[in-house]
Amino acid sequence: MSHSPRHRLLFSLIRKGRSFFRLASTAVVASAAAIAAPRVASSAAASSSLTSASTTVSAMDDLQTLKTKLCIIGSGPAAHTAAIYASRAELKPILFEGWMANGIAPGGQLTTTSDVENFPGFPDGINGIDLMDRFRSQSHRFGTQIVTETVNKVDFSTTPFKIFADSKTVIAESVIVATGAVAKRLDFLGSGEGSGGFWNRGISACAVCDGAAPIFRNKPLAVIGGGDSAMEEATFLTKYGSIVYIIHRRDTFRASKIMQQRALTNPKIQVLWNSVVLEAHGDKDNQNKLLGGLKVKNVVSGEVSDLKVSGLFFAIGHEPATKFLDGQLELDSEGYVVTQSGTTQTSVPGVFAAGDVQDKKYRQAVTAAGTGCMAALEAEHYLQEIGSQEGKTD
Amino acid sequence: MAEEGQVISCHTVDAWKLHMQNGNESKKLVVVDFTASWCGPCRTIAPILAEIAKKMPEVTFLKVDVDELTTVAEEYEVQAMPTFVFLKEGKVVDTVVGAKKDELQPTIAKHATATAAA
Repeated sequence: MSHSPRHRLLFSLIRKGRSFFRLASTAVVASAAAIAAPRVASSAAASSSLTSASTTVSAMDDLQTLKTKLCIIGSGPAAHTAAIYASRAELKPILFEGWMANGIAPGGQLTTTSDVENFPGFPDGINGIDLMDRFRSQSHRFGTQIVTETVNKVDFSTTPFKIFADSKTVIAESVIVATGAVAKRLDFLGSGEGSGGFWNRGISACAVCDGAAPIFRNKPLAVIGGGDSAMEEATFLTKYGSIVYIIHRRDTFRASKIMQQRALTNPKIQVLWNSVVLEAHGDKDNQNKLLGGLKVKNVVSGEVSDLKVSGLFFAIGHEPATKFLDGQLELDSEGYVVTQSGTTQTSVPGVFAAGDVQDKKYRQAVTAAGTGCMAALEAEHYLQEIGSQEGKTD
Repeated sequence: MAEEGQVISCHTVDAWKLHMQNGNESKKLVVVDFTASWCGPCRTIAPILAEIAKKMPEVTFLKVDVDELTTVAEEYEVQAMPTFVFLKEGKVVDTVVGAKKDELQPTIAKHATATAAA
């Protein structure tokens, strides 16, 4: 399904479909930062969260227990690349792509963006949803069994491992966790999608991904945040924008000194301290189709002012989807799965982690795909090792 | 028409008006799925809605792409996709925002029964 820019809105950025619903999951991602582990089939607002995994709901399917050599949890580039390699290696993997897991459609974060211009192999760019459709077709082609259910719970305390979703329980000899992460967003008037919201029409959570878009060129831009990412993104954006404002709610950054230094000494960067964004509004000259400005409040003085910008970037962190693991894998202080350097091995032998769930540094589709491949190869190796010890098949 | 059991896509304002008129006159529950081609969750919930439509021919299901029929989307103040608007005789009786399949089914059932009773 190709998107066709029939819109006079001109730029690919406009039609980005992060189609979350501003009320539900976007808000979940954002403010509270407590991504209320919506690991159940319902999107966002986790109604029946962590209660008994396998006995709820299901008018449709009967409870089924499946066995496999490898279970992959996730639906983004990491998960599907792992699936492609694993299925070609005859591991007959079962992949849980989730049903609106974490409030995101199967395919992951890329389904929330329109054009992907930097994934190698696509000189004309490709629509995010289309790209993930291709990944999925490929893993399906080689025999991956794809289950459209969200994993509620796992048990890695013994082998074989157990993975629980609404109607299916999987018993797996090895597991790849590739559940990704979500960029945190803030929720205020004008920050969502659809009419009235400027998400993907000037508001984004990824400067690297979107900064080069034409609508931002030589225009005033803003970044919200105070950490290293915010400093980096602001600096990055000075290449494109006429001026970059860093809007931060306190009077000091928590970023490292060196990153702060770089940002503060950059002539194109101006900091608005003690400031929060109340509202985003449209550009009247463009029939309000794109972001035109922000209402910014100084939390110390209470003063509200207008800031004319064409772009707003959230750089307030990412939230990895690891709550469902319930502490069974070692996580770092920000919730990312810890993997041994240079590998996808986690604290549990036989469980591997790939993609954004274990990567807070690069967070790109191609790096996720890369680690997905690594995870599959490592899982295969692991299976050979335990297979040769037990001498059992299937 | 013989489009019961299906989700009917309205691609023009005229088609929309026609179907809405039919819906109003029939006194059936009308469920409108406001969707967008670039919306991942919309795609995810579409088959669920289609399944429900098949089982409930007494309800009229319409689908509107918010980019195609912007004025209609604006009229119903659609802010996020998908948004399901429930109408009876032209009046909005409920909405479900988001691909919430656990909320969608019971809401449809609730209003469909109410129609039958009336």
